[in-house]
Amino acid sequence: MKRLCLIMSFYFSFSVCTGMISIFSWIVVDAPLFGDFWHFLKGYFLMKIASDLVMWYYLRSNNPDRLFFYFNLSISELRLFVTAFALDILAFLVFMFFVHLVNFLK
Amino acid sequence: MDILEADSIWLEYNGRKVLQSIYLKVETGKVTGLLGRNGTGKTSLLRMIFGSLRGQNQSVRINGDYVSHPYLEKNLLRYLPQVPFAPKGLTVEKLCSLYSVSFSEMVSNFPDLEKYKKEQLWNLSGGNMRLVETLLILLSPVSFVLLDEPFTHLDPVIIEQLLVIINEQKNNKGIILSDHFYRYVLSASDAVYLIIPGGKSVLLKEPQENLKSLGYIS
Repeated sequence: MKRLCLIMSFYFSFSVCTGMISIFSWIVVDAPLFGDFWHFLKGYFLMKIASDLVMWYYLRSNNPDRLFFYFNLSISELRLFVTAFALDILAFLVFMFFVHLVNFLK
Repeated sequence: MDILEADSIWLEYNGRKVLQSIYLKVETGKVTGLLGRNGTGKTSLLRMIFGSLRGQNQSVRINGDYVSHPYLEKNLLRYLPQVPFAPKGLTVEKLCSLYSVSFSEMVSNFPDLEKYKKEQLWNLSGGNMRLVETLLILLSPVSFVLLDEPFTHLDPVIIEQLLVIINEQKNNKGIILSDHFYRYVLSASDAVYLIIPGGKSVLLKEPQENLKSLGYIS
């Protein structure tokens, strides 16, 4: 649990940026909902993998020493970024769930 | 007593040999000094021992057992890098909690830190920030700590107090101490290694004389 909280705090440090990328990409393709949204998801995952890899590279090259904070707590770089990626996807899906709910109730 | 041994360390960058034929032994209950001129690979060596940097070859053993990524082993070792490593936004108290370090133990050694308990680390002065990060690592409940230039930004009076804590902490852990303030390193260390140009380690029998003869000091 402590580890998950740590990784979440790591994710929150750049979550606004990655969240904006997710929402922007959804708006760019005309904000699909319901059936169209499932078609959007496939491309979305590929786009997120690419953008999160860029984010990984950016964080690694700009402040690699920051990772020692997590290494000292026995959290590997791979675990850190893969979990942050999963949280990023989950956050967008939760957001989209509420968007669908609001549209469904309209 | 636990023993950490690093050997067969081989590191090259773009064909340039940085480290080769390194052997280093650290025991709990002892401070091992690590000296070397700029660019001889001290930081790289510490990171290879820690397990975050992979070279062409390396072997780190704990009590004779090979460990591929020592930093992933729980409560085995922690590393103080040369620059601030704690994320922004965390208070000193929170950092202590995450690293399982007693804030009151910190304060008992440095009473001035008491007022920073609820303060975010990144709001502290460079010296205090360095001191807190060094104490976070040094007081950690692990078997080995690797300190990379812990005395940077610190006042002499703080360094002297830190040396007292290092001396206390070695009772239950092994400490690798690397810094350019070599006099402090010599005074704290039970054994001293020098990395000489070409990336080889030399265990100094008579540190003061050997440092002269090997060109580290004039």
